[in-house]
Amino acid sequence: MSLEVLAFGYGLVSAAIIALAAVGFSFQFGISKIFNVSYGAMMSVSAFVAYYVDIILRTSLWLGLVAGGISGAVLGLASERLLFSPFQRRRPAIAAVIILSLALDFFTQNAINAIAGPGFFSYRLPPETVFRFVGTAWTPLELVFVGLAVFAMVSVHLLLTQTRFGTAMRATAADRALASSCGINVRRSTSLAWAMSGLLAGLSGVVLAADSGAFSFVSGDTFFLVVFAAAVVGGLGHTYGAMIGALVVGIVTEEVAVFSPSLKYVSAFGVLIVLLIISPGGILQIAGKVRSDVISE
Amino acid sequence: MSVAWQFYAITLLVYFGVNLMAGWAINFQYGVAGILNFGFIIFQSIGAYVASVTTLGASQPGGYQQYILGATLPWPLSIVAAGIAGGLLAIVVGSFALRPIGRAFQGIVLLIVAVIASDLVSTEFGWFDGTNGLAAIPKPLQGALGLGLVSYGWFYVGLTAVFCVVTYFVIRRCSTGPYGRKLRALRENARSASALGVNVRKETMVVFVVGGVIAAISGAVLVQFLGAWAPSTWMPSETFLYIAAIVVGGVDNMAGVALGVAILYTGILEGVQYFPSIGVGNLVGAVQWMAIGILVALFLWFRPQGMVPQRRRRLSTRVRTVRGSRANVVGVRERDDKNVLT
Repeated sequence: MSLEVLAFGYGLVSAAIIALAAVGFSFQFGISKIFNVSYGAMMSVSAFVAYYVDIILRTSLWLGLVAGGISGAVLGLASERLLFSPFQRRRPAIAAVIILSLALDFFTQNAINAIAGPGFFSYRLPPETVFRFVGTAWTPLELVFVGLAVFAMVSVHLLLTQTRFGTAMRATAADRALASSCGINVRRSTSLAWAMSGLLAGLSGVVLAADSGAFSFVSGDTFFLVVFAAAVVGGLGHTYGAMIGALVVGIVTEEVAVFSPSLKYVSAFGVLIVLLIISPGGILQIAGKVRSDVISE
Repeated sequence: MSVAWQFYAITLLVYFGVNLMAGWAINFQYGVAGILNFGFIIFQSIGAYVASVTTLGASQPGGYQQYILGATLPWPLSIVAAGIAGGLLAIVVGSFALRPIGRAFQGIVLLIVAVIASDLVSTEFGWFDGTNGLAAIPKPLQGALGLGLVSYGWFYVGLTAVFCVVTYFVIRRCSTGPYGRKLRALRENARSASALGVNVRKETMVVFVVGGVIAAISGAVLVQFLGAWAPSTWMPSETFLYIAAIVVGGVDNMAGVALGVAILYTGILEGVQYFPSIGVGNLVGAVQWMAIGILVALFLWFRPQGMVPQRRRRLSTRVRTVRGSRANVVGVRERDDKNVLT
């Protein structure tokens, strides 16, 4: 059994976690055009909420996963309603918005540090039997995570294409002013997008924490860099691009980790640099599907 | 003043001077030209590392610290080497990070560069001795001057002050006059500036490199005072403190930045050290970062121009009376120069 094939399997698990987060990040950016740097901190918050539900309340990780998702959605909605939308109405410079989100990131991250403390935490996970499939190794938990990600991706796809909310959100992302004048409630679409993005952040935060074994208050922020790379590789603001980007980044990072574990995250960034040089609009731009104006604002 | 207080004052002043240089440099990038450099700290850091290894002498195999580029350059040359290294790093990083025109996008890419750089320098023990960092870095001119420790400290304060003054004039020169107006046009609207003939990519790169060189020199000045440098002294989050100092003090105003640096670094960060250590772990540190986050948010919300707002720059019309004639001649005079965008 070759290591590369084994790593490919791990790559799929990584890709699943990255996809959950990258789709949420990219989708929210597509609609509100705000770089939410505090996304990583939102992931950490959910991981800790799940920890408290799992360990302190002595229930189960599954309940923790649900609680983590809900807390992410609430946090996403709250940061949009209470912070970003009112701030945007003051017509700030674009740079001010991103500095505000960086400030929110520092605040949230250190709030976790102040409440939970700086150590490493882990969930109670049952000992698992590994089974093999064509040269790759899987634990039941990893299968559940991949299943969850696939389910979430299909749900997002159906939400966007089959429901009126989804159509309204896509219209808002394409042209806010035009959507508004067509009678679409753009404020509601925006709030919904933030809540959905928060939900995905929450789920991915818990899954990341469970998959990596131990987590701390900076885990989400560290992982956010990989998520960002995946979202950009896929073409920022494009939901399906984010899925492709997650697959590329997930597999590349795990394959590189076979040769040099310390270069794992560096390789995600390597992919990002190569892409920025070839085509700043992401993979979909190479395929001629989208314009690159998203990142030039 | 007792010796201990003198040392304390010396340390505070050198730190203030170094942070002032760095604050002005990042204000030149963000405040004047609008570049969001969230990876600023790596430029300060490379300056510190290069100034260290070029004075430590060749790395001994089996010695207690391993590093590249070992040399024994005399004092001003080590600073020059640091500046050159900062400029080169800026060119390399800028060549890909500044490719997309979106400012926010550049900012996050630069943040990622900083995190990756911190990761790599920590794990690659052959470069700058990994997480251990470098120590026993010689202090410049200490042997030649033959001063006592306290007198040498005050000498170093003076030296830092000289660097600050030079930095002030360099940045002032770059950010006033036609060139300054060009950069501010770039900040306000890169597309319009481009339409008026400003080479956006080139000017962005020039500002990025100038800021990088000054940051590297500030790092060199700091490390030659401290005598040690390690990845824990330049966490990527440190950049946020400089941005916070600019936002609080005053964007695009050098006096404002000085005030911001004084409040953030000398006020909050030093002040917190007098707090009793309470709670688990690093509770005071966490609360301090939370407070800085709130402070920045409040300023962005209620006073985005900062405590000292930027100077209004406009064409002035004034009435002049020409001597000997009875008529009033209305003269239009522009404050800085003739053409708005050349």
